[in-house]
Amino acid sequence: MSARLELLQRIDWWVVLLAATLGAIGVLMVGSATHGLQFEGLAQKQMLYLCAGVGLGIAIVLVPFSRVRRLAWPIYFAVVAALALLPVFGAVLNGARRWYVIFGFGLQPSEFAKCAVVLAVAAWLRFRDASRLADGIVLPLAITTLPVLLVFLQPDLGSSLVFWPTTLGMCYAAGARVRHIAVVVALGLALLVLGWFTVLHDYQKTRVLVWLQHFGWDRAAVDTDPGVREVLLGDGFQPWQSLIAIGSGGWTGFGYMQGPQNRFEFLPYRSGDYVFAVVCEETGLLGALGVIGLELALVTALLGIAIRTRERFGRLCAVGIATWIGTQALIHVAVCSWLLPSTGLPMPFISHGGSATLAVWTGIALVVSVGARNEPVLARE
Amino acid sequence: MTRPRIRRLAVAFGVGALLLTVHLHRLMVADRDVWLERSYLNRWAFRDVPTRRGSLFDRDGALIAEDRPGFDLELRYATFRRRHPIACVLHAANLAHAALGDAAPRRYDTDTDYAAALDELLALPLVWLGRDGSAWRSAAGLLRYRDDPGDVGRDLRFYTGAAVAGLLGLRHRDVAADLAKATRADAAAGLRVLDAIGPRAARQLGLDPGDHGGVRTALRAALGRRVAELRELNERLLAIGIERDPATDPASAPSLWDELERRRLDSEAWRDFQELPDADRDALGDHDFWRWLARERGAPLADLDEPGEWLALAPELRAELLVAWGARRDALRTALTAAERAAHRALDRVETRLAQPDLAVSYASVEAERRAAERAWWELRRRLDRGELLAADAGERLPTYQDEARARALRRQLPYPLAAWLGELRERLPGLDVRPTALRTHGTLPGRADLGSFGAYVGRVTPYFASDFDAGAGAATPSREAEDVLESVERAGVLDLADDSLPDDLEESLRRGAERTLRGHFSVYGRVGRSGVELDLDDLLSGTPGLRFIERDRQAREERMFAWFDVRRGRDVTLTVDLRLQALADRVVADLSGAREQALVALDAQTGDVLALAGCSQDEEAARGQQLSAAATWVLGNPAVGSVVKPFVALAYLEQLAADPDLPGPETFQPCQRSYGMPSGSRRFTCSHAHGADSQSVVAAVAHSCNIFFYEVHRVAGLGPLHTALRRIGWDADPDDPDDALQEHVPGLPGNRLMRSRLNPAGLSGYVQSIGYGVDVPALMVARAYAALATGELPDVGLVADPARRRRPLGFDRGHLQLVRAGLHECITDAGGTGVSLLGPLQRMGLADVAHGKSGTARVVTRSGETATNAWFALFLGTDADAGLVIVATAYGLTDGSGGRDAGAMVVDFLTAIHDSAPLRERYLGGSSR
Repeated sequence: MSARLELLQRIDWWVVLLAATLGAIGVLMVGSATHGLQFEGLAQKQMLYLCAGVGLGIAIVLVPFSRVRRLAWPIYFAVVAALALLPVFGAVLNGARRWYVIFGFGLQPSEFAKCAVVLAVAAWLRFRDASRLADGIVLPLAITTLPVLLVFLQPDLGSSLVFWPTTLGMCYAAGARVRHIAVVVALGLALLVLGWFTVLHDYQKTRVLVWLQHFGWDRAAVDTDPGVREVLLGDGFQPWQSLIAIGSGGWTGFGYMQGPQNRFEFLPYRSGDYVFAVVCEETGLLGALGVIGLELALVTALLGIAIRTRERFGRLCAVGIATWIGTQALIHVAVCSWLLPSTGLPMPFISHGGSATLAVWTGIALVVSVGARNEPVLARE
Repeated sequence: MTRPRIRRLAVAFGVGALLLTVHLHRLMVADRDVWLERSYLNRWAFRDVPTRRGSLFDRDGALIAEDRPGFDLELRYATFRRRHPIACVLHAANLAHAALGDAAPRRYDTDTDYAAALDELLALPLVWLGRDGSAWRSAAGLLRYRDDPGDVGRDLRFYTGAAVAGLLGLRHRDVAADLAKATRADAAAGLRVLDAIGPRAARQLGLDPGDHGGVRTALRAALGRRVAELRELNERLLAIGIERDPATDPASAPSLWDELERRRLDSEAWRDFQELPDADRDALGDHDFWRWLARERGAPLADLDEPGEWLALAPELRAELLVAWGARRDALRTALTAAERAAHRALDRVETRLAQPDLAVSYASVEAERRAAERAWWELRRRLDRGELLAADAGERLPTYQDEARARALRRQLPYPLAAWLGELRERLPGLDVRPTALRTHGTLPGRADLGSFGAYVGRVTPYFASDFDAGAGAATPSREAEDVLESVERAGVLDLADDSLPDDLEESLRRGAERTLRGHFSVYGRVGRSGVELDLDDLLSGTPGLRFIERDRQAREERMFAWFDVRRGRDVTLTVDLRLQALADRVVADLSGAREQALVALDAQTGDVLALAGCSQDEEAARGQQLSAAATWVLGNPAVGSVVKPFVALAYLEQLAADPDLPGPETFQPCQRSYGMPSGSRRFTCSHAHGADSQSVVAAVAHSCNIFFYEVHRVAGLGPLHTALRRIGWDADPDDPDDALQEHVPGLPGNRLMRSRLNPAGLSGYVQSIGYGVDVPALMVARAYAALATGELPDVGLVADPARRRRPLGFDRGHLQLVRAGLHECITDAGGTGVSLLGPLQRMGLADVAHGKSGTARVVTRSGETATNAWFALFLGTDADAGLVIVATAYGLTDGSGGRDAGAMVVDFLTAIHDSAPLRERYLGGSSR
């Protein structure tokens, strides 16, 4: 039996199946969200990205994992360099410079930065005693901070928020002390307060303030208070329309491509940042639970690979990828249902986006590769 | 240790997912109805379909009044100043210059180099835009910044942010935040505005962050494009002319730049004005104050016309002036109140007198006293309103402070291509709004520029006011329409389109939506008749707006229509008036001299159609025309009728004589010796001439208007004949007949105030009542009564062409009617007739044989308390089936007039004018043969 056939046999096909299912759902939902619009054709593009992602994943799986491990730091620095050079070579879209345009396709380094940070942190923690504050918490966070700062400056607050839980999850899995993590979280909250007065843009503050306000609105206020109505037509428009889409879905939804909020374009960014609202509106709570369940199942499967993997770098990679995907999915759902302030964060596999699709399939491929190869455990691990 | 941690991570994700699931369940299942309703309300909407108000036409289809739909261009300067980059650049540059006090202001209407102004703005030191007011000590000279010079920085930040954001398509608050942040930084010293806005602008433009030169060039280019847009608008407006109020601005060839400059100055003055202390603002906002100031304080203060100049006066002087003005104003108000109370006391005395008819004080004297008091009151008010009590020259131009937030018309009735072009540029021309409007236009009377006195009957139309919704004014109130629309929606089964679990509150929400749409519709398009025909027929004329119930997308594009509620256009109404006759009538009443008020009515005897209504007041010359109010009672003449009532009294006497053989006949009456002694001998009455035996003949008594005959009628029959006559011809109500002849409402004329006859018998002897005193009837109702004499049937008169108008038999014996008609004919043809002065002209026109007339000469108390003549002449041509035109003329306030001579002259002039016009002669005088 050839090595490749053996590799195929050892692949965790559940992970592949779950990811592929989510990817297919994504294509369908992007198709619904862009049906009849000037953006029609995005579903085909998404299908292309999906195929490209699968192809890239296969290529990554075929690459010996030890080679990937050796490339962890070069990949990290390459991505950091790509982020750093965005202000020079990046294209401006919607007032932000987040993309390189290559042959007409936009490539968003911040999506790949998530993978790169996972690899770099895993490489750092591989031989370190994670229970030590410096090795287990401070330096992994420092490794994370560099790309996060560059992403934040684009500006892309949503993406930058995903890095921290991912890194902290890896640190926790690597054995970092819980109290260290708690202190870091507390410090992070304090920095958040500081950041409120220093680095947050006005529009970002407004989103947070409107989000806080909305918990105090009752039905009468929404229907009659001119101030509230002005907010709902202004800064609160996106999350409010998302809430309407989700809330009106009921158990079974309006049906595929029949969601009025989607069809009549009340829902903004519905193929990306609010795609889950389309899922809820058209497939109802049952469909939403299905998608959440699939995402959760995928995360669990990825963590299962981590549990089964003895080699430390691969295990931490699997934890990192799982945490990234899980966190991003949960934040996306929470943002769509306005449990969190609105921020642009795509739902893994479901939202439209070439870079996001390629990045997430890269991550899946890495974990599948880890699970399919029984890498030797070195003494220092 | 690692594996359990990984499992805990998995559990944490599971818990997170569970929490989100619970939240989603609450949203999607528990609260679904609420969100479903919001989803429906997002996409279900009502759209209004404007209706058009009906037009008014004369009997031949000539246009009298119509609402011509169109678009107005309005300028709301507050918005323009705050949002248009050019205005922001200009105001910012001016603010910086004025605060430093070193340059004349930049103006819109000069060859302003806006690019240079922009450069100045970008080169402003950042510290000038900070909260620190130290840089703006000299700004204290600016009224608005007197209390807080630091606000100059705030306003400069605002203008700069708005200008840059508007030019580059950035969000204003982002640019303003950049500026605020930069001015707070320690490094602000030495930096310029461009340094603060440069990075964001460069990012937006895709330039290097430090490429400030590129940013400046791009800003200049964008500003140039905005200037070019305004220049194009200016040229297109100049091509059609910019509308201005010639009373306040006589400039002959204004441009958009002139207008903007005028509004800029108004805006500066208004904002300064708002900064004044309350007491000063109250005074300076009162034109009377300025008039008083100019007169009382002489030339040094007469030129003072700006709030800044006012505040520059010494505080002690300002206080002294305000106290003096307050005292003067209070004195005027006290005098006005006293005059008003005097008028009310006089009215009380009249009412007391009316309640005690046996008092020796005559009614006329208390009435004269009341009128004198009322006149004094009105005269005082008039003089006060005109400013005559405050300044020698009330016509001078006074400072006015125009609220810059108020939209003011720049051009009415824009050509559609220009309106469409402006609509496309709406986002780029903030403050310049195109609004749908309706322009009231009137037909032009032949030979006149307006509708003449007939304008009073056409009435006024104004936009819908918010209070009208609650008052239910107009034909279509939103709530009623909303009900109808909802019924229509239900009938169409629209609500079944939704799924079974339709929220209960949705219907109510839709009802509110329909009502909101209609309110919005009325606030834009609604037009309400306020007086005259427009008010009386508002139900017909206003129509009903249409509504469509639609499903729409976020861009408000309609996806489908569920139901509709048909628009009902306001109905066109054809009036009975002949505008050509109206023009002649207006000319006749205007040409009469010597009277204070005069009126002329032309009526079709057969149908009761009002053919012309003309009135004229020498006191209210300016009131004639389209703005005339229906309260102008003089249009129907002074109602004291005098002898025109005599034919009807004679008819009623003849009827009573036929019914009662014991009643003394006319042959038993005293011969007319001019003086008449009452049987009691207490008072004596007179006649105009010694008619001799005329007082013993009905025909001669009517023809010569012999008072003695009617005194004798009263002596033998009492007031019975008078009351019978008044009821038969509809000048008094008949308590025993619910369907009496009284016509209190003439279709087309609002209410009955003008049409109501009034009997004021109190204090008057029955003898003088029998010759018409104490009977007040408007000319239109006099014409109606004479139409009854002509045809034997009393028609209801009306202004609206309506074949179903009521006619009722007059009820007098035909022989008696012929007798009275003979008297009326002799009134003109007999040498002693009171209307013999008409004979010659009527003969020349070939009308002498068919003309019947009656004069009336009533002595009435004028508004000044003097006694004057109210002259009448009523004429009809032909009788029974041949009866045609009825003409009634009245002239009030003649010092020595008579009905036959003065009012008769008006009738002759009118007939002559008709006769001179072949088409009118053919139609109304039966051709040249008559």
